[in-house]
Amino acid sequence: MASKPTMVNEEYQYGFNDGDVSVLKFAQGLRRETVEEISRIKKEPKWMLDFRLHSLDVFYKKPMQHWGADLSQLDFEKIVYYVRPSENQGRTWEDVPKAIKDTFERLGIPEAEKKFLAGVSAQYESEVVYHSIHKDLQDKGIIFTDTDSALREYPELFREYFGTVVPPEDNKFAALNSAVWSGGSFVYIPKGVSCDIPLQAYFRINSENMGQFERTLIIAEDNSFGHYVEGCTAPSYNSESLHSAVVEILVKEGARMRYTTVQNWASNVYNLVTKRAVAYKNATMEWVDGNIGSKATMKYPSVYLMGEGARGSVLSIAVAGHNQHQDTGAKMVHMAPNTTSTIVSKSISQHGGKTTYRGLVHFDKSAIGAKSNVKCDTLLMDNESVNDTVPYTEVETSHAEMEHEATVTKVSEEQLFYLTARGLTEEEATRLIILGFIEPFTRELPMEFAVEMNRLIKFEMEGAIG
Amino acid sequence: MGKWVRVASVEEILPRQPFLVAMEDDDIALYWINGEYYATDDLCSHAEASLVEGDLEGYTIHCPRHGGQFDVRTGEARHFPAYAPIRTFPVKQEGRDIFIEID
Amino acid sequence: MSTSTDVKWVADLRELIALRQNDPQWVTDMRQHHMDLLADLAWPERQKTPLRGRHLDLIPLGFPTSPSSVPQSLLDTVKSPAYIAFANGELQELAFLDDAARQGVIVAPLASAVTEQRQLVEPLLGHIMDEPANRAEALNAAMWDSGAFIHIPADVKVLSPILILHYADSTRARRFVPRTLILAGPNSRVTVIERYVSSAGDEKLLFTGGVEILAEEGAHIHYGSLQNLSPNTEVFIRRQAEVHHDANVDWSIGEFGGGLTVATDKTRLVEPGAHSTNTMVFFGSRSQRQDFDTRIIHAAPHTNSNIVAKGVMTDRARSSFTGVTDIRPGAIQSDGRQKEQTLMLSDAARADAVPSLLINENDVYAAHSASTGPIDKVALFYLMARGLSEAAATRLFVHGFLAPVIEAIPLEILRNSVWESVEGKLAE
Repeated sequence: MASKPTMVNEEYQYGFNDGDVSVLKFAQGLRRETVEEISRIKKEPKWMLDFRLHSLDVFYKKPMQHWGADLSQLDFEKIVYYVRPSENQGRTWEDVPKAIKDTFERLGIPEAEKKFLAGVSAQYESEVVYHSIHKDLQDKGIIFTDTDSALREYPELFREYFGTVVPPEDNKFAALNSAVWSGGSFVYIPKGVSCDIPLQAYFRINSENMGQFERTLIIAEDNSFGHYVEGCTAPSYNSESLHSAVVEILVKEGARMRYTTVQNWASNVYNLVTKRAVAYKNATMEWVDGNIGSKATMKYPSVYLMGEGARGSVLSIAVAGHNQHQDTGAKMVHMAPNTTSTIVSKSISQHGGKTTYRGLVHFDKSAIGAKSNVKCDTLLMDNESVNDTVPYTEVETSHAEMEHEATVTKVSEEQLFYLTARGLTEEEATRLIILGFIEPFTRELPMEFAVEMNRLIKFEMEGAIG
Repeated sequence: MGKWVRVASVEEILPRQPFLVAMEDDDIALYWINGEYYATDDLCSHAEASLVEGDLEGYTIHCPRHGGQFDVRTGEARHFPAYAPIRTFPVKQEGRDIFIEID
Repeated sequence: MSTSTDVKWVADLRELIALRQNDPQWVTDMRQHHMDLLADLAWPERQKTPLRGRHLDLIPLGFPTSPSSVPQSLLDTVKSPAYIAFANGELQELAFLDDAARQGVIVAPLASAVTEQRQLVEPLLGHIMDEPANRAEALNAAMWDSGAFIHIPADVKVLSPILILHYADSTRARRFVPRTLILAGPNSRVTVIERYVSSAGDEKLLFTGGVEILAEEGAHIHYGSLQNLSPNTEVFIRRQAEVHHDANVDWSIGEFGGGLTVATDKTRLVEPGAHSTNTMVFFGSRSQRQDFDTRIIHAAPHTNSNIVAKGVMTDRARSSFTGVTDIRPGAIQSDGRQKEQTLMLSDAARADAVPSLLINENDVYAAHSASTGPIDKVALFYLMARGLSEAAATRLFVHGFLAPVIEAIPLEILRNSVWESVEGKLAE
């Protein structure tokens, strides 16, 4: 990444946009006609149109929640719900419009692909512009495509699972996503197949007042393995942007799935996401979730442990800076014997930012022999920054064990003293301490992301001292 | 050993229209589907919303709060985010009266 | 939930207030004011404990309370030279130390202290607690009858614990409304233990209790509370303390009884050096429902708090424990901790916990830990292999679980009573 300029101040490095490249853009606001038009343009089957319209009704009826981040300035009427930047989905780089390619060059995609990736489905605005899958994935029978294509090309498979983990009624933003979803990834890994290379996707928000509503559906059949990586950037704007995604994952018997996210949203974005996985007998689901920036993030990756021996884990970090609120956590629902869950949450509040840990561990009567371990730690970098740690536990059986620990502190003075006494500046020492604090998270990232992560932290921490 | 409690008259229960019965400790939802009566907890096991306010589709009651679904015959959760079953209760009709058996 | 004034007992209670002979005008005004508030207030809303099925408005609170007396067996447990006992809302016995009286210590029924100690009581009564926010709290503020006023003057150290015993015969009363006010003067020392007992009965008894404590500069108060109310008693209790410079309020709370218990404990650390520990033991059995909200607010620098809660759940009981360590901006160099542990003895029981940290200042230390689990299977097997029955082995294990907390209660009388309550539950 030698070509990347270093950051000099708090301006967001990726704060550029391409002028307005969109070929087809809808007016602001959400109407029934908007939803019908989206479905018509995508040439969707009737059941999907009906699903979208039903979801729209649910969205209108559901009240806004009164817990979590402050969403009072979110104006649904000011958001554009669908933009399609080009006529066709490109197959290779050559097919993609130059302006868009330039954006991807700046975001570093070609390099990343060269080193790590099997295939990239990149979402620009609401549609997938570039997509390619390596031959060996195809040979193994692994499906990795965008959600719109999956609906067209694998209709029975799609319909069997779509909406079964997160129904539109789940919450207001799931209903919104269900009505206007566009793009996102569809991953299907057949029985016994191991997909060893991380599957990645990039996407970004470009237009003023653009909403992002991608919908991801991942199915890991018995004894399969996969790793999906999601990361994104967004340019800065003055008016609000909304990112409201839904991710549904099914991990069947003996399978293992890891979903890694590193998100770095600009400070005008509302990032409200429903992420839920269902793990069956002896299956393993791992969420690795990094959230930096955004005006407000609400995200609680969940695992429903439905089969005996299922395992779930969430490893997350949240960094909230000036005027930012990260309201994040995890949910683990134990519905079967000998299930285990682990939650490790690391939060950093600085420059007056606010982090909230909100988690749930639920042991049903049937969760005999279940175990859960939760550890949440928060660093408050200065006296303007704040944190709430609110973990819920619900235990309905005497045959399960749950342990939870949390701390909220400032950077340890002893550690600082130790490091500055050895010649580091206070800024360098603080950064080292922070990197150590989040190390359990960064060590789980693919290297490319770990490098970006450390760089993001450095950027966020600049100006944190003095 | 349970006891039979009279909860409603036959006239009060409309076909396919969930009916709320407020008991001593719990609220119970009563259904009349295809000529048979069924009874379950009214409170959804997910977040304790009232199921009688939801829609009945075949033998499945939809919880209006978050979209969970239950089979009213067995109490089984049929759709996420509902994951834990709800209780069911035996129902009988004697004359014009409906009885539910509770502990 | 109905909040209209057409609940019959509202009118009945207003009449009862008017009929009270000995209240000074300022107290009558206060009672009527709270009856006015009550009309628009609902019963407490607790997320995990819906009150709809309890039919609280149907309890005929206006039912005249007939006198009763504390059973001798219960009086015999009060082995302290300083105590005050109430039965069905009326004073039954009061014993006091001459020494303490000479030093200016006051232990009196609140009902007479509102007149005789007006200059001390009036500024404090209802002012340490927040304004009533629900029907149960308003009822206590309007209808309290029994309970004590305790004042320890500056620099006085009372060595014997002061016991307050409340008894109600639920066949002769429908409401049980004690209210206690404790003022610990600068650098004073006192231990107060309050115990609530009711007899079993077929009809519901509504208990709504209130306790206010003010710890002035340098004072140390140890307040113990033991609740052994009957299964037909619906229990609402609110305890609140305000802790000043370098003062300590240490709570030891045992919650064992009631059909439904909704308890709120709030401690405000308002000046530097204020310190509080809140130790709670609860035991849910049969079909009890218990809902606890314990919070400590750090509103000044250099304040420390520690919440330690241990619960045992069996049969079909359900409990919910919310612990809140709330560190406000400016409360620098404060330290707030929580530890909650629950032992689950049956599969039909349910325990929910929300140990929360609300931290708005960074130069602090805040931490909590919580755990829930069954009796260790290996330990159980070991004990049974040595000839103990499962019941005896369980009993031993529960003892081991609760001992660190119960043995730390610095008062033998209270310790013994708490152990007795535990034994009573295990034998059920």
